[in-house]
Amino acid sequence: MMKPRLRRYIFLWKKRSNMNPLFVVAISEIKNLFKERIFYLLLGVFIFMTLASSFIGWSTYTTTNAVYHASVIFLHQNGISQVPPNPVLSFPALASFRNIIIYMFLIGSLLAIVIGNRSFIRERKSGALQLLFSRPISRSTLLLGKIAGICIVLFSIIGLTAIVSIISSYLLPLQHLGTADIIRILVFYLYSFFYILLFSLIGLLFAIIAKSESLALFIPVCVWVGISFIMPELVTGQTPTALLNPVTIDNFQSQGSFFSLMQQFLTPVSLGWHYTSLGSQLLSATVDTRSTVAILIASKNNFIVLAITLISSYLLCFSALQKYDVQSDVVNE
Amino acid sequence: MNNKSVIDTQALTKKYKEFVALESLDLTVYSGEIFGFLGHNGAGKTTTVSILTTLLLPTSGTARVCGFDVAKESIEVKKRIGYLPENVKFYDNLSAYDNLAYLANLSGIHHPRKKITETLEFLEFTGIENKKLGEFSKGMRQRIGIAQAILHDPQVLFLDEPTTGLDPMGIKKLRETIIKLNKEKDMTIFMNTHLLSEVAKTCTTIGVLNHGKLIYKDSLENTLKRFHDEASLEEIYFSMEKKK
Repeated sequence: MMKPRLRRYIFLWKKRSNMNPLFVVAISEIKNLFKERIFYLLLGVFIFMTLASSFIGWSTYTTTNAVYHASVIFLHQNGISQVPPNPVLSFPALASFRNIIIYMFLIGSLLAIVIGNRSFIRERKSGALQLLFSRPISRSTLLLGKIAGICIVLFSIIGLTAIVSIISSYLLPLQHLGTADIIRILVFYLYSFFYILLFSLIGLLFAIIAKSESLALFIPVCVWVGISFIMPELVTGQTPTALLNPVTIDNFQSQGSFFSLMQQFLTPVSLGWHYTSLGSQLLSATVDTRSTVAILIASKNNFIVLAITLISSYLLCFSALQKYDVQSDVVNE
Repeated sequence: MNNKSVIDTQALTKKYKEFVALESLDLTVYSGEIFGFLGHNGAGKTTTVSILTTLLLPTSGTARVCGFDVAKESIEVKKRIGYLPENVKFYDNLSAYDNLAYLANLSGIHHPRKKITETLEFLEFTGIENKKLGEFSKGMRQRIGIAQAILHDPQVLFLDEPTTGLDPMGIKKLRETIIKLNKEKDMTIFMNTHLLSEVAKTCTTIGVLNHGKLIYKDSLENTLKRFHDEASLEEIYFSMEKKK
């Protein structure tokens, strides 16, 4: 049962007059996304991924530690007194989180596509767009409202995941995190939010322009494959499976003139490569003594490319919605 | 009815590549009229309504609704019009109230709850607020469609084939509602239809569109006087089509 005071607040909120149309659309978007299974699936997967990553990190830590102590006992029994230092002591504090980079990079971005896609496909399938477009709001307000709703939903999912990450680090007997480590985790999740938001916008774009529902999902998935696998592969000359290793590769080996050329042209725009690279720096997948600010400043070009891509995606969505012919639109399965 | 025009089009044209859906339409509808826009399927009636409701941009020509240009001042136009599309669709998973509240909020209505109650009472359609739209019959959806169109007290109400799919009782109810809106709320009604019997019972003025061209426009009274040899509006319509 809902408490009377809460019910009263909801009543007063509903009674509120003359809300800004942008907020009206955004609130409706949030309510609709909260009603969809994809939201709970995304939240569940993210939290599971976070816990799995922490568990794998903890397991690696304890196994290495146990093997080291067994080796020390073995060496002492054989009369060797000089033993090397425990390798777990050189583990970066955030190393146990590094798998999250790949989970977010692959699964997070893919599910974000579905959220963006559902946002507009739902409207097209309902057929209510004619009524929406006949209201005194501009199409850009409608688009901004939808994007605001998507942002809030994605941000709440990422925020909850970040909280679970931090709590799990205290629950599992790992090396304790300091304030600087927690800031790094939060910066990583904030960066992840903008990264997966890009995929939501791509999902939204094709939901506006594609003729059928299946095509509206298929094309963004192809874009996802391009950003997540093909471009990083061309940039690094690595095999796709090697790219799944969340360790910074600073000096990758060029494999011939083709890859050298690709590396030269595609490196600045390879978003997937930038994401895994910056993510691994922030979460100290390799030993990195730089401060968070120093890492961010060094990666400013990554942010510029991501910002340009986000703005371009928004402008493409805007242009597609302006041209969208609500009268002749029939969305097929 | 007075001489103030609420809809005014000048050489309004819409082309889809080579196909001319609407050709140089000059049309004036005056305040307080119930205008019946007649024409065969594909004559360009829906294209005209789509342009006048700002859902579609014209290829050339101008159209003004309530004094505002539909292409350049679309928001101002939309504030003053209500629109009921043919086969109106809603969010079926939401209740009638939630659907209306969402659209009312988007229209900038100050007290949505009060306005929805008033509108449903005006339409004599109460007690259904909490039912999901997915459970509604065609006739009930049509009435909710009219409710959403008049929530913000528009000056002009556009109805695109409003009788499609309705049973005789539904058609009668709709006719009564249209007349009530015109008389009690002083709303100008622009109705696309090909049900001539309804036009004869409801409209004050008629216009006939044939292959994108306006071939006739006059008051119903004058029309019946002019074509006094014909027994019904249906015969008048067919004789116009034949002459063309």
